[in-house]
Amino acid sequence: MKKNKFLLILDRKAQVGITLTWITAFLVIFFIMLIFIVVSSGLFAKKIIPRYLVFGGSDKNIIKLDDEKSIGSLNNQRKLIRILNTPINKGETLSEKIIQWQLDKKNEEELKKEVKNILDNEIKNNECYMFYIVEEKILLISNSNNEISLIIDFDYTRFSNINLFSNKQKINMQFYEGECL
Amino acid sequence: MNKRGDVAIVLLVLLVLLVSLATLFNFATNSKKIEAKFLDVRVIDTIYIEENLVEFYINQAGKKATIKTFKEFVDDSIETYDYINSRIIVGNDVEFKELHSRLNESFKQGFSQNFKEEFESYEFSESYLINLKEIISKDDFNVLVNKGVFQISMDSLEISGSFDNIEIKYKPKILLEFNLENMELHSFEKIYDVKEECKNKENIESCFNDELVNFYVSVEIKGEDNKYSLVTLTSKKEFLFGENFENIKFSFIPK
Repeated sequence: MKKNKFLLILDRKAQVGITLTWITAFLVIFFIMLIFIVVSSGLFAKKIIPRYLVFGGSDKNIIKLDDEKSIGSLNNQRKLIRILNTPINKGETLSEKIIQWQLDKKNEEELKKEVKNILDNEIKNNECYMFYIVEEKILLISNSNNEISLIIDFDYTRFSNINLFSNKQKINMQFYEGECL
Repeated sequence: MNKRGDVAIVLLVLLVLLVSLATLFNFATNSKKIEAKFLDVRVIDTIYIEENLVEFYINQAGKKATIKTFKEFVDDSIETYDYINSRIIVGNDVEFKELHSRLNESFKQGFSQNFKEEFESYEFSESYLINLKEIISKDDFNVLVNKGVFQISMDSLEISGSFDNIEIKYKPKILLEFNLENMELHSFEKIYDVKEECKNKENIESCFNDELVNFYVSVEIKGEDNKYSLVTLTSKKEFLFGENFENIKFSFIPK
């Protein structure tokens, strides 16, 4: 028998049940989301990862250097600064000697000899070097065959570049130390 | 009570819980990988190279400024600075009785000025070195002077480097020291102490020679009635002034 429309409105048993379940579900979901946001914010700020969350690894961040090449130019620069501050005689450093030579243009061979001595002492036997005073075109090079033409084989990205200033003039120097190619 | 909707809703809640936990887990493990990936050593390398160059050029200018300032203090023709307190002239020579009361202050002033002038003459094309030049020309650095030791410090320089999409900004604390002893000179305090020790000794020259190892010492007896010893100190090392390398030379009558 077909129910009266008025009686259907009064029959709300199922709707009340479902509504009550939804309210509870809403509260549960709301609190889960809240906990999620709090925990993720905390992790983001501190970057702390519990050990048990990292399978088969350490909880520390590891940075790997791919090879020696990546730190080559810094090493070259430090070596060049050390070479320029090396005392030669009477407390005079190589940088002062280069400035002096640039001013009076005397004894180029002597300067080359001094630089070569320092470089040979400073650089390991199995490494090659190139020392170049750009403006004056003074080039000192050492490589496996001692052939200047092999200069093109040097890794130019690892060159160290430094300027010396004397009486408002700039002396640009380039230095490379590395594998003999 | 009607319980027809319960199973579906419980399933929904459980699924939400599962999705949240899975996301949290994924976030926690992957954030580590990303961090390790973007921290490339080349970025740090570039920053250190720039910092080393900054220190190298400050060192170059600082050394020249120290020597120039010392020369200005002993040069009789430059009247702005002096190491002697109230000069008394005997003939053509000067008596050295006491050190100037404001020696360190005027040393600091002279050094700062010379350092600034020297650095302003340097030409750079790199932006961080141009910034450094600006900082120095605005006097945004500190100088301390004590017994022949000059200290320059600055912390306003910012060096930045980038690699891929990562930008790193670094404010190095620059602190460099210039010691007159290490530059083959002596501080005026030391020269004064030696003068006090040697002035009444019989052999003044050897006394000065033993103590002031960075100078050649010569003593000349001068005056007719009132004889006095004129001590001349000449630096063993030659320093660059303008286009020439010269010794620093100065004389005084120890009193």
